[in-house]
Amino acid sequence: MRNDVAFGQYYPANSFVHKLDPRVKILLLIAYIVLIFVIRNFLGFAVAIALLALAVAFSGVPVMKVVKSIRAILFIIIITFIINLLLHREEGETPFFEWWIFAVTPSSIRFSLFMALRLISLVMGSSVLTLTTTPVRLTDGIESLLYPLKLIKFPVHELALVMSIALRFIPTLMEETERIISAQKARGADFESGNLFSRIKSLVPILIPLIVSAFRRADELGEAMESRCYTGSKNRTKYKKLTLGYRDAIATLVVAAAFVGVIMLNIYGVNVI
Amino acid sequence: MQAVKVDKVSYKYSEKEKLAVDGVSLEIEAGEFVAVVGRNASGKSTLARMINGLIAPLSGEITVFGNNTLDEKSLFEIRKTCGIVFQNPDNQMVASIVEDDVAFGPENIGVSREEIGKRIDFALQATGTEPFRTEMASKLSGGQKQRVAIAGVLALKPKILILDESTSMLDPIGRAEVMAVVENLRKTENMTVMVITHYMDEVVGCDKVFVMADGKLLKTGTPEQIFNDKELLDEAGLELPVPAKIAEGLKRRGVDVGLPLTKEQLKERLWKLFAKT
Repeated sequence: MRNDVAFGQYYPANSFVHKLDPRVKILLLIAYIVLIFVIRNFLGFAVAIALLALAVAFSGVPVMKVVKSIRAILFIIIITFIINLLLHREEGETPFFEWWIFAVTPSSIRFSLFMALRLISLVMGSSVLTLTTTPVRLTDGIESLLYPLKLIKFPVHELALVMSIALRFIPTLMEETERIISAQKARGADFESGNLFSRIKSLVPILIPLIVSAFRRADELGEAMESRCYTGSKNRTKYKKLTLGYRDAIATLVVAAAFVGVIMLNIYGVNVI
Repeated sequence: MQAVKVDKVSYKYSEKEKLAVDGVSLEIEAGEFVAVVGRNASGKSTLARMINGLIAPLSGEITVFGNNTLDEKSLFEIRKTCGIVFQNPDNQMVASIVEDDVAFGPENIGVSREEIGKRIDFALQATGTEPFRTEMASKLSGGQKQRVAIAGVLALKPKILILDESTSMLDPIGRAEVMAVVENLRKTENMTVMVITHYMDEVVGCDKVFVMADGKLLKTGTPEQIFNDKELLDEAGLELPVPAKIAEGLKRRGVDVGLPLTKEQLKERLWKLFAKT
């Protein structure tokens, strides 16, 4: 199970994308998310997917590791696709299929495919960020970007640290989940048969010990941090300095070019596909 | 020089519960290697947490190199001086990458980037974890993770190292790895080490052993004094180290080699016995 969850798990390598400044990576990911939501045609998606493919190629991360990140939200993607396929409708359309309030129309097919592609691109793009950035670098990046909020006494460092610890604990909690499942199975629990309702119900004996364990771990981690002199952001120094370099400029230019391309396709190529 | 002085200290976790630590007094000299042993819930870990200033005693007081743990202003200095390694390495690592985790402590005390780098180098070398420097901590074995946890504490350059059942979740190889690191630190850094353990084999090399039961300190003595006191061992629920158990078995079969506490002692005495016969 642990290997199936790519999201949040850093993949150690020394690639072009790994070496990018985390602030740049975060901003480029935000730009990429905006990009996939402003796309209005399939050619635009071709540009977005090409951009993602480029990022994966220059990340040194195995393609399957990025693709596997979709598994975590596959259910949501399918549900979103079905709902949009059956419920989206534009005026004056002739449906291919109609029953009660449900109908499949040319626009619903297009719209549901768009939504599915958006979600897939969103998760894969985010995975590239977490796979190529250590949680500490990510924390430093977020902290640096949110620095202006410190002026209004917003706990920027604490928020960034919480996110970093959450990412750090993903593999640990996955391991714990595996252990709990094995322990419950050994005591006769059945998670594979029955209808959807009984399957959801059968998750309770996994979730309760997992939550209890997470609280216990949080308590122990808090003590360990305190004993290692953690007192918040005050007077703290950083081992790794964030610096911008030529790679960051190249990456920004590539994403900017893709953005311009998508906008052009939106203006001139709405009806291409 | 006195490293730790615990003076008539008591503590309880809640009003309804009985005292977890009950009027304990002890002293640890700088450079000493001491062990705290006893059954579960005998107050060992509570005592360690009080020495580190994580919890304050209800009565009595503790000083660490002269700093009182009841003085809020001294806590930062105490935690810099006295590092504690807990039972589960997974629950004490803040960062995913080994070097980032080791850097956490020095970053907290505000030392320069160059100094952090030097401290990481020192801590990783001292614990033999240099090859894992850029590895994901989650991918390491239990023993390796615990050594990284020790490195994280060592990077603070503490004078005292407390291992709170730090080997209890490890297999024999992992335990041996961790204890080898401790032994090395004692020799090279002259560090004061306090080991809290259920494994009596980890106790035999100590200068002093504190035996606890029901929150009270039953006895302080050398390993020889402790393991020769059968009544105390029964009262505190302690076992003999493996070589001593073997010697006891031999004694029942008519071969008396005394009470060796280490493999080497047992081997030596057996050789002597064979030489005689």
